[in-house]
Amino acid sequence: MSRYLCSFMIGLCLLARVTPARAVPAFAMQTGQPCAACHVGAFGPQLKAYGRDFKMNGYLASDSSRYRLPIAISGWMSLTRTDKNQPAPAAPHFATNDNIALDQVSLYYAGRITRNVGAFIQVTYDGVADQLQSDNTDIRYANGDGELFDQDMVWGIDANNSPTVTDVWNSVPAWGFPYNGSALAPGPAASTLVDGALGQHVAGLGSYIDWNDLVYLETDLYRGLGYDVLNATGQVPITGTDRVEGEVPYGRIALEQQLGRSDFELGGYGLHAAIDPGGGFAGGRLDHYTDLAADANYQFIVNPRSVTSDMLSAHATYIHESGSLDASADLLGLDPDHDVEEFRADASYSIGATWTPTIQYFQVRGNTDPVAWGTPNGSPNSSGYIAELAYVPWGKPDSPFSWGNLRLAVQYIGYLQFNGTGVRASDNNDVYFSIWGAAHF
Amino acid sequence: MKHLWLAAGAGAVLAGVGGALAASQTIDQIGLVFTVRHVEVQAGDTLTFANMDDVVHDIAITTPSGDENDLGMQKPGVDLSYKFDQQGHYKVRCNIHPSMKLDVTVD
Repeated sequence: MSRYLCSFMIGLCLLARVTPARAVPAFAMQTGQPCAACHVGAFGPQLKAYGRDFKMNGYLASDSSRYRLPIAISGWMSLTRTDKNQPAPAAPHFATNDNIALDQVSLYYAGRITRNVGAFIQVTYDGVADQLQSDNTDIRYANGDGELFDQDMVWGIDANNSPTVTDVWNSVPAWGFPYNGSALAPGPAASTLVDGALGQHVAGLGSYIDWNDLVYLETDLYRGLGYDVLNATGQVPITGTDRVEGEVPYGRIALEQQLGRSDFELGGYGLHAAIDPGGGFAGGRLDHYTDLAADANYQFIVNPRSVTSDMLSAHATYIHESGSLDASADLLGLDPDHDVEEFRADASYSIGATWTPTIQYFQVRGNTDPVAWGTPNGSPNSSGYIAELAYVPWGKPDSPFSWGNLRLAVQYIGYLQFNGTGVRASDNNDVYFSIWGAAHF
Repeated sequence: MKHLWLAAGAGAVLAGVGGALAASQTIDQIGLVFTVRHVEVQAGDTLTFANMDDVVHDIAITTPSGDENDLGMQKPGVDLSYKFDQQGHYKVRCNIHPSMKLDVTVD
């Protein structure tokens, strides 16, 4: 263990010396703003009001200087330690515990393309799966000078590859806490489709409006990508995996209000999807899922004059998924009446945009089905908490350079219940040390 | 007291000649927004924009005739001024911060 820790600490020191960076530093380059202007804790992806505006307005805002292409790179490495060794290696080429990994290296195009078109396009090398693949993609046309009923309106058209990736609030799955996590730790068996399951496996077109800084409305229509496209974009393994059939409609509504130093948001989102389990083995029968979710956000800035001000942030979301799994019932013997609920709520207090402690409570519940979840008693129910402390030395107005940033974090996941039982649930508790850096070219 | 009445009378006379004397107002930029959304001025008046934030701004002003004037990089603590000569509606925006919107009506 000490050898691993020593190697990890040496890695941290080397990275700290040679690869300092910013969250998506291409945005910082384009706007001339430090990371702390857009991001809570001076590092992505948690957004402040200005970060939400920047995204909603199409990643177009610029300080009018002439810059190179907005290309950036980021990556993080980590150490994962669980309370008890896992029964089998956490992944091919990894051990049953104390795993050091290069989790991800991502390349971004992040910024303006034309006067009204901007993009956030991410390609990632997944170091755990040893796979290069497409990642979050959000290309949008935006117009920030619209008016409706004599009030300001931002509107846009968007092409993207994941439901909720277009969102500007950090309560939704694509951008929710934890902002990075271990792929080498055990996790709950159940989750919902909107909670990332469709990410990068669909492509969609949508439109949105933000009226009077009060009402946000968005609709998108997705289609599942074919196996050839999935193979080409690194979304493997493909053969025998589920396939999205037909269109997937997605909708989002949010009410927002700024009162003094506080920002409030209350909203909902949802989708409906038909899935062909196993990709063609069900004889044309399909599983149907409907996800409906509610979410809320709150932010309080202590000193609005400073982008490094202390800031309190809180997010919550509740997702209910109901399903009629006719195909899986025939094919695999699953209970056709599928039901999953997820709830998450977190709060953080960023101190000087440098130290950011965060605590989250999470809960997953579902119908009892031993075939579906593979748990001893057939229940997928899990609950627990995540505690994290992040340290970001740069990304502020007085930082010594503007081209990079770094985030060091320690995260602890504690389970109160794990996959249907509280007995020995804590065996799955894990601690996760990560160092996350980013730079623009 | 007599002097005060005389001064007040002189001010009234000056105001009555149609705002021939240009005025100046200061608009603060705090928390990445202008502290007001709309202001009315007389032709020839000057507005001063005071960057009270700790990041740069980049003010662009669109005149009633559609011309755009970029005041350039405005560092923290720096004031920039602009004279509003044309009657009509001006749009004042920050190129960096989309929510920084100020409409100026010039009579």
